[in-house]
Amino acid sequence: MKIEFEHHQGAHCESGVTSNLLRQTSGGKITEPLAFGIGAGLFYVQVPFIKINNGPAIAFRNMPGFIFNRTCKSLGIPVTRKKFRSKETAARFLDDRLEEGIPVGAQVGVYYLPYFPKEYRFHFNAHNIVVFDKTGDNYTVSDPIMEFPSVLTSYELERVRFAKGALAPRGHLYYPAKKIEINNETIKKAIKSGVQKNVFNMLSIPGPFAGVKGIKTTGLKIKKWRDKLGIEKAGSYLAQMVRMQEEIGTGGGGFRYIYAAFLQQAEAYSPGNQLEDISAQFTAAGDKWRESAVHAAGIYKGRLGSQADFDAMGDYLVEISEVEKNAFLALKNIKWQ
Amino acid sequence: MAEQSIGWDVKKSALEVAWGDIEKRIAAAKQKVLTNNASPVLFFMEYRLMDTAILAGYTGFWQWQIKRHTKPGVFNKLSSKTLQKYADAFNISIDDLKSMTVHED
Repeated sequence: MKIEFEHHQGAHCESGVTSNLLRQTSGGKITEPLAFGIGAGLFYVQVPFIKINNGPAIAFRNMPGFIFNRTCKSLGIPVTRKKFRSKETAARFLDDRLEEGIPVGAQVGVYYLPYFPKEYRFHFNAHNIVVFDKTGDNYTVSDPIMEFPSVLTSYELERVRFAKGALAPRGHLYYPAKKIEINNETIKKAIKSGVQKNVFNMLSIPGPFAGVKGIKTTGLKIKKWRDKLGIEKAGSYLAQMVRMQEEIGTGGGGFRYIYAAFLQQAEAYSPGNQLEDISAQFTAAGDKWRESAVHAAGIYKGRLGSQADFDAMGDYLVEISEVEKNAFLALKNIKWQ
Repeated sequence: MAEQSIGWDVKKSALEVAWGDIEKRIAAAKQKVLTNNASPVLFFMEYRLMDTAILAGYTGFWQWQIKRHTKPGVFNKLSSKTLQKYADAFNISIDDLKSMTVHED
């Protein structure tokens, strides 16, 4: 059966998928930035003691599946989510949904994703696509980073749905369980709840590793990297940080620009809360991340390398931490109209 | 905004650093295999950007087994069933695995 589904390219995989999945239900109102903001997608964490691709484990956004879940919950849309132990059950479950005419979100690993640009193929398992058609042995999938829908054989799809390593997807599928009309009032409420959740995540998670405190912690650590790791490894660490920040699917600036766009669009649904003014602070944070990346590039390309350069690098993050703290405090102090 | 970041030199060079590191690791592994200090399992593990944890996930072996299989003496005695699991994990044939042959994919 032909499934009604429109593919749109997005800046970030999960908010793109969320927006695409909700396009029909919401009449196109849930744009990608709205999905990202309502889903409280902005985050920062450096997971201690863990290495990814032999470098620091830094993330600028939330866990996979979180945004979709949160967005739907805030909009009052029930969600079905499923992980699988057996590959056969996982395939059958997907086929049954497609049979019923439901486009399904799927978490996949990108390493063995055949259409994915080769230079981006790492064992990164928190990527999201929508599967919306099956013809013979071929599935048609919508990947927000691609301009057009792509085709995967059942073997190729199974392989990426059961990719291994950190955050292994284990066949993870998700979709709105019911179609529900969304009006502007629901969106307004959802915006408030998304902002408040994001304020909590960035300001109030205990410990020094998450949120704005996490950014500062990384900044202070960077100052010690030169002595501790040696100049070459420290450079690789910084390159990894920049990759996470500017990677395909971030919208650049570690998702800060996409969050700024969210606040701008939110203004229309929720006027009188200075959301648009505060949005400028996130654009400023994004610019600072970009500036810091240029400085980091100076180090990993070997143009810079003194301890003073590493101190300056660390100070960038300490400063960003301060900028974002103030931006989130402004959001926290909104007297919601 | 997505367009801005494509082709941005800073980002491109960050990717180049990452791939440069990987290529060094692959070259080092290759050298080890050629001098008979490691088996092709190590080479393909690096070639596929894996570590023993990821490879354990794909093959179903324990990490200590994989470490053992990276020794040439142990590798040469592996059954074809075991070799097939590695070949599947690396998306190559058993012959390519044994001869350390790389096909672009």
